This record gives sequence, C-alpha cells and structure tokens, in this order.
Amino acid sequence: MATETIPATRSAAAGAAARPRVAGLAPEWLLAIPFLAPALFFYAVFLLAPLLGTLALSVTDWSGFNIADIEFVGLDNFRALGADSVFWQSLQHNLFFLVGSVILKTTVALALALALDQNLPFSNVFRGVYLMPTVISLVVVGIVFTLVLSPSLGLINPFLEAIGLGQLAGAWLGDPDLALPIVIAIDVWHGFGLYMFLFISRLIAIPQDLHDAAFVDGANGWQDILHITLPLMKSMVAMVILLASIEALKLFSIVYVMTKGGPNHATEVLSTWAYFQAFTANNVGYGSAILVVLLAITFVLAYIQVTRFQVQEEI
Amino acid sequence: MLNRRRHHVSVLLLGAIALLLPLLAAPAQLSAAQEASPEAVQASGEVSLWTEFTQGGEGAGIEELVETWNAMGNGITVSHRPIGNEEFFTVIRTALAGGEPPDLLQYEGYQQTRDFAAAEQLTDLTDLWETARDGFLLSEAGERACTYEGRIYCIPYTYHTGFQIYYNPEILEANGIEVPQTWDEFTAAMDTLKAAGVTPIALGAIDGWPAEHWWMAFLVQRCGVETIYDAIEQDGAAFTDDCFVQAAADLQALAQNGYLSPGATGEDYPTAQAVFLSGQAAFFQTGSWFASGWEQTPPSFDVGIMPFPRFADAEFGEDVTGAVTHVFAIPTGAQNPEAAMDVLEWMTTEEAGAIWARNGNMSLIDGAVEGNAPEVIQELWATVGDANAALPWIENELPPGVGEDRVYSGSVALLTGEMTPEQFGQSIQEALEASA
Amino acid sequence: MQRSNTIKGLVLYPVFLLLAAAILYPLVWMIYSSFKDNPAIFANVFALPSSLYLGNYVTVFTEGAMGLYFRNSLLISVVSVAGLLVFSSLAAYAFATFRFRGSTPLFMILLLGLMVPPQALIISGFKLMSILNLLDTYWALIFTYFGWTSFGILVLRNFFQAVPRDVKDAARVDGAGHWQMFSQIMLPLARPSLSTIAIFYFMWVWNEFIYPLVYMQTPEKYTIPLGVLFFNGRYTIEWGLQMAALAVATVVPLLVYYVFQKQFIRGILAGALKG
Repeated sequence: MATETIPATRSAAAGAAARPRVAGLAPEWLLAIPFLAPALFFYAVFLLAPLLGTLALSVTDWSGFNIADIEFVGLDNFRALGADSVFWQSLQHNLFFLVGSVILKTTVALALALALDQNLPFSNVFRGVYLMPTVISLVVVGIVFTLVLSPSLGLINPFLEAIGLGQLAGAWLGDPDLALPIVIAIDVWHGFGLYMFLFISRLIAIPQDLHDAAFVDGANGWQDILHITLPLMKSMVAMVILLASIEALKLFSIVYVMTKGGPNHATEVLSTWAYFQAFTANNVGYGSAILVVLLAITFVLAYIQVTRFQVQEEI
Repeated sequence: MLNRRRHHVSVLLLGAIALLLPLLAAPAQLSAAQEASPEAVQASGEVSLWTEFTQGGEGAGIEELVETWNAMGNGITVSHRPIGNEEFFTVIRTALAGGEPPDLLQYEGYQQTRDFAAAEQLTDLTDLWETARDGFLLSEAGERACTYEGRIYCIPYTYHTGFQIYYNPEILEANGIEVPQTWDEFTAAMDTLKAAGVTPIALGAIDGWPAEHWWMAFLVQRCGVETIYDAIEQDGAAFTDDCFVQAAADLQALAQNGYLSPGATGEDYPTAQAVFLSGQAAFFQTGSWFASGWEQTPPSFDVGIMPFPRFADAEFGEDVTGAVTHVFAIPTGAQNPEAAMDVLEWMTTEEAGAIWARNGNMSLIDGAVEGNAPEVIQELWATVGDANAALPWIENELPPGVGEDRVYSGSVALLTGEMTPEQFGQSIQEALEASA
Repeated sequence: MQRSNTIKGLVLYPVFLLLAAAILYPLVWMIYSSFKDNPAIFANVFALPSSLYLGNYVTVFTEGAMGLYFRNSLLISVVSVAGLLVFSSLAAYAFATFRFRGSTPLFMILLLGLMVPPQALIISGFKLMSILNLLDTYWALIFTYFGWTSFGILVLRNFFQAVPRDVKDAARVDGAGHWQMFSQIMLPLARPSLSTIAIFYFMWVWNEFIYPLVYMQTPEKYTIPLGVLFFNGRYTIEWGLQMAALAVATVVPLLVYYVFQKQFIRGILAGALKG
C-alpha cells in the first residue's frame, strides 16, 4: 500500500503544476462541447430529469392518481422510515445480498479465471459454458429456477431423494431462512461468468516474462499466483467489486419474478418494498423516499470505490 | 493529476445543490407538467380497453366481446390490452398519474373505486347504472363495489363464488373417503390421506392471498359477515377480537397438522393449481375463477365441488358465497369518453352478458348465466341464489397497505410459524388504525 | 511440467465439470421439457420426452407472438447499444482529453447514472414520455436507454487516459484535429473495450422489463422479457408451454452469442476495461 501512494502523490503534484498552463492556452470547454453534448443531452433529459422527479416526489404525500393531489410534506416520509420495520428488514436484506453476492461472484470468478488460465485442454469450452447464463434474460432465469425449485413439482427434491439425500429436501423459496440465500445463489449463477472473463482478460495481459522470472527465482505455481498474479489483479478486482456492488444494490428483477419479496418479506429488498409502496399501497411519496435512501447508499458506496479505484488506476 | 480533494468537495457541493434544486422547483415543475398535457380531443372512434383478463374464460370472454363489437362496424373500434394481474396495477397507476389512462378500464372495485374516485379519476356512471340496474342481478352487492359518496363510478360485471372446495374424486375413492360435509369429517379425511402418503391440500401462497382466502372461509363461520364488516369499518369490532384470532388459528393449524402441499409458502397459485390438476393433492380451495377456464382447458379428471365444511361449533351458519369482483369504469382522462360510454352501454345488454357467461364467467346480467354458461358455472351460480349473504374478499375492502401487506404477508407468516394468530390480528388492526 | 498438469487436471476437471453441469442442466431440462406435453411433464419431471411433441412451439409462435417480441427486442437493443457506444465514446474522449472547469464534478454527476435502478424512474419517466408524446413508441425506450452512457464513459475515459502520451503527440504533430484524433486514432485503439461495453449494454437493455411494461401499451410492441412474463401469466399451469416460451427466449440469444462468441471473447480478452 505504502509504495502505491508515492506515485499517486507525485502525479497529483504534476497535474496541479500543469493546470494553469493548460487553462491559459485555449477555451477547452468549447472544444469539449460537441463531444459531450449528445451524451449529456440524453442523460439530462431521460435520466437526470426523472431522477429529480423522484427526489421531488420523496418529499410529498401522493396517492399517485391525480397530480393535483400532491402535497408537500417535507421530510415526513424519511422520518416515517424509522418506524417501518419492513424497511429495516429490507435494508438488512440488501446488505446481506450485497455482501453475499459480491464476495461469491468475485471469488468464484477469480478462482475460475486462475484455474482456467492454467492452459489445461478444453479450458475454452468451459469458459464458453460459464458465460452462458449471463446471456439469458433474468426474467427467464427467475422463471426457470422457480420451476426447478418448486417443492411439489420441481426437480430439486426428487433429485435429492434419488441420490439418497431425501432428508435434505426442503420448502426452498417457501422457507424464510433459505429464500434469500437461494436468490443470492441464483444471482451468482447468472452473473459470475462475465466477471470471470474480465479477470481472464487481465490475466492474459500480464507479460509472460514476469512469470518466467518468478519461476527462475524458484517460485512454485502457488507462489507465482500469490506474489506475481494477484497483486497485478488488484485494480480489476476493484472494478469487479464496484460493478457487482452496483448490480447488487439495484437488485429487483429476480426478486420480482421469483418471490415478489415473499414469503412474508423474507426476500424483501428496498427496491421491491419501494415498488410495493408506490404501486400497490398508494404511497408514491413514501416509495420514492425509500428509493432515495437506496440511491444515497449506492452513491456513497460507489463514490468511495470509484475514487479509490481511480487512484490505483493512475499508477 | 488534479488536486483531488478540492474536487471532491466541489462534487459534494454540486451534489447537494442538485438535491436541493428540485425541492425548490418541485411545485412549479409539477404544476407546469400538469398544464403541459391538455385533454386532447380525438374523434378517431378508437376505444382503448385495459383489463387483467389474460387467460381462461375471462380471456376468451373479453376477446369475444371485443370481436363482436368490432364486427358491428359502427365506426367505433375497441382495442384490448390484457395486462397480467401482477403488473396490472403498476400499469394503471403510471397511466393515471401520467394523465394517459385508457378509455375503458376494468379493475376490482370497492377500495379501488374509492381511491380512484376520491382522486377524481373516474367518470360518474350513475345515469348509466340507473338505466341498466333493472337488468342486473345482485345489484346491491354490485353497488357496494362501485359507490363513492353516494354516486356510482363503475359497472359491476362478474360475480365469483369463493368458499367452495374442489376435490379429486379419484383420490377420495382410492382411499375410501366419502365427500366430507363437516369439518371433523374433513380433518378425518385429511388424516387418512396423510397416512396414505397423499398430500391433502394443494396450496401455493407465496403471494399471500391464497392463504388469506382460507382465513376468510374460517372467518365467515367464526365471526359472521356483520362482524367482519364492523371490523373493516372499525365500528364495534376489531381484528384482535377472539373470532378473528380463532380463524387465524384455524389457518395455522392446517400447516401445523401437515395438511398442506410442501410448497405452500414458496409456490404461487398457478403451481398449486397444477399440483391439484395433476392429481398430486386431493383438495383445492379457491374461487369460481378456477372453474371458469375449464371450457378452454378441460381438467384431466372430473373435478368435484363441495361446499366449505362446517365446524361443529361454528358461531355462524350463514351461506356466504362470494362477491362482485370485476367492474368496468371510464377514467376522467379518457381520450374518447363518448365512444367508451357507447361500448359500456352495450356491455350491459343481454347480448353481451350472454357472451360473457358463455365463456365461463358469472355475468351479473339477468338470465345470462342460466341460459348460456357452462354446466359447472351454472352449478356454482345456483349456490349464489340460495345464499343469504355476500362478502367481498377482505383485501378489496381494506386500504392496500393493510390488505395486501399485513393480511397477505401475515397469512403466510401464520403458515411458516413466524407469527401467532394474536400477532396476526394485532398487525392488521394496528395498520388499519394507522391508515385511518 | 507434464506431471504438474496432470495433477492440476485431476483437481480442476471435477470442479469444472460439476460447475458446467450446474449451469447446463437447468437449461437442458428446460429445453427437453418443452418437447413434452403437460401430463408427461407432471408424470415425471426428469424424464426425457418419449416422442418429440411440437405442439408447445406451435402455440408459442401462433398465440404468443414470440417472433414479434424478438424482433422488437432486437431492434431496440441494437439501436440503443449503437447509440450508447457512439455517445459514450465521444464523451469519454472529452473527459480524457480536455481540461475544463467543472469536468470532474460533471463526471461524478454522470457516474450517478450507473446507480439508478429503472424502477426508481418510471413514474416521472412516464410523465415525461407523455409530455414528449413518445408513449407506446420504440423511441421512448431507445431514448431512455441512451441515458445510460455512464458506464461506457467511465470505462472508456480510463482507457483513453491510458493511451500513451507519445501516440497522442505523434498524431498531433501530424496536424490531426480532435475529430481525427478521436475517430482515426482513439476509436480503433479502443475497439476491444468497445466490444466489451457493447456486451454489457446489450445484456442490460435486453433484460430490462420495467420500462417496456409501462411505456409500451400495445402488446405488439412488447419485448422478449415482457412477452415471456405475460405469456407465462397466461398459461400458468401449462409448464410445457412455459418451457417452450422460455426456450425460445433463451436459445436465440444463445445462438447470437455463439455466432459472435469469437468477437465477444476476443474483445474481452484483448484487454478491454484496462485495469
């Protein structure tokens, strides 16, 4: 860590020194406009504007039927969150899901990337297979696994009985203790392949002479991975963690398709609870407030990760 | 690189401004948005119709209604958009909120009527109802679904019976069981089945309501219709009263005694239907909508139907069948309200009622079911005539935050054992008091 | 070397195979079950079909209009992804090249877009589309997806910044303006990154179902996820039909993936998302 901060500081100093010169040369913002305009236009109109709308709604009381009925209530919605036990439960589930899915996706993807990098025959075939789930729509994945897991008609229980593990047969999604871990497992099933590929792409970019030098120095395979490969993977790990965390906090589709937050809120997360409040319970303002909390959490988390990630980037 | 720290500060500042701006601009922005969509006058003769009728007798019925109307060639064409039940309310709400509702809208009445009408989203249909009323059966029950502050805002269209139990005669016969009449006979039958390794009841309650419908069936016997209504209206009864708790205990006992299919809390209603229809469970309790699809997809065995068994110690012996469920309305934001009114008027005729009934739906139009409906629907309909009380599904009468959260989730929590019957009653009562 | 490979193989192949089975079996099951009729499925969920029953597929394509949904999805995805690539690479170039006041805050505000889940925006988004008169048009979805440039900008900005200074300087000495620099030097260099981003975007757009649900009002304009959701809502107890709809929705993207697999994988492996 200590060795990393030095170049970062140096480059920051260089940037500060270069700044007045560049600023004095040309109106660069003018040159930037045509490049930025299209992206900024669509971003501002179709993402930022509705987002501001949601922020505005979060300080209102509105049933969502008639725009004339909107009532400004200040921070009442946010105060009400404190007493909403389902909100806290959902927040917990979000964090559990975040930690679970990010750790699993990252470690599974990294481990497989390393394993598939060992130049064993058929590695390509396995790589292709592992990427497959990512291509499939989450709606499809959700429905297929609902059918697979169905205790009455699905595959899992008869399968367990067939291999003599009948005592493990369970209610799966119907078991409040298992429902959320199952959702995590399915999310990992769907998503690890892509991250594995990102790791593989970084592995390939490591010059072979670094490995060779390590082996010349008498390192074995493990030591090579530990001392040469992994340190070079750091920034990619950071990137994967960032992407996986953002994806995890946005979690909605799988829950919506498989359980709608049930049974009895066992898989409820902030986005589904906000959805219920806004679209079923006539509380558009309150639902928006829940989403604002979710956005704030995501933003803080991503901000920390992005700023850290960028610092490493510049080395 | 640039001095990061200073930039982070400016980012935070900018973020704060971005957060505050809309708060200041919100009222202006919203009212501007409202003015920006004036009511467009369109005389295209196209009437958009949104329903939750995607399948079975409902899907076939609405399709035939639309086709029949369009074949008349009177310059008005109906275009139907079926929306799945789960997504229906999301779509309706965004459409109403955005000022782009359909011309004709089907929904489920009661609390929704009150919510929509209170927000001035529904056209007053009192005049149309006055002229059509005489041609309708159970018109009082229908009005209950459609009234807000003394005016009628929708036309009741379908009745559903709710408290019968469907059974698989082959399974009963194979296990030497007579069709049970009392609750004791019913539990005895279930014990026999259980001992024989057969699942007694198919249930898929991950969404809550299929379990709640059992609770309702118990409530009817434990509390009686009047007390249930008193609790809904918070007038002289509460959901914490003994009879409500007792009914919750009855529901919980089904799970504790192992009578339910293994996926009771983790599967959805369609899966439970499939469990029953594929012969993997003996009983299935649900509304008449289950039978309304048999015309289109006949079940593979001769499904039996029995009245909900009676407790020996039931406090109330009323014959309660079900309620008006589907209603039609014209949103105030409709593009083509006159044409929509023409279509709706036709839908109250005997011709339309016959089409609706022919496809397996209990039309409320006088004579429609008797003359046209499939046999099983006529049988179920006959029980309505003998009954002396109607009771809507409780979630349709309660605010959605109570009905579709506390009641639905709580019913599942009873089955998983996460809640006691007392806690269940308290949870509903608290939420109802809070929403008042 | 040979010996250590054998040991590695002994350890790793069982893991590889087990994982591959866990991934393939649910999909294979879905596909072969789609060739069974309903009673056959419920009689034995595991069993392979005894005869090839095609009735499910007939229904999926006649009643389900799955072909139409597929066309819609493809059209929307292709246009959206193309636009996203163009817009985000342009903006990323600006962020990587020009120094101007407010560029970092602007960049941070753009990053916000990465984090916004679609269901957070549909109420105000619907109102916006109704004001712009775009409801029930493909543009409503395409423009919405055009707003998703954040991810591309983040990745490509990092990539452009990492392009060695002498490459840029050499081009500048040749008198290249910014436009030429962007289109003739930077974009070709960024091709691997672009293809990776394209895959991510394609996936996100292809999977998304909340926006089509509320913006598209004519069933003929539904996309694949929505079509599958509604189709399955309609044939809830007919697992055979459901499987067939799911299989159609799965097999086609899988085929597309395998056809383009080489480019995809080469793109990712060529070191996109430089870390």
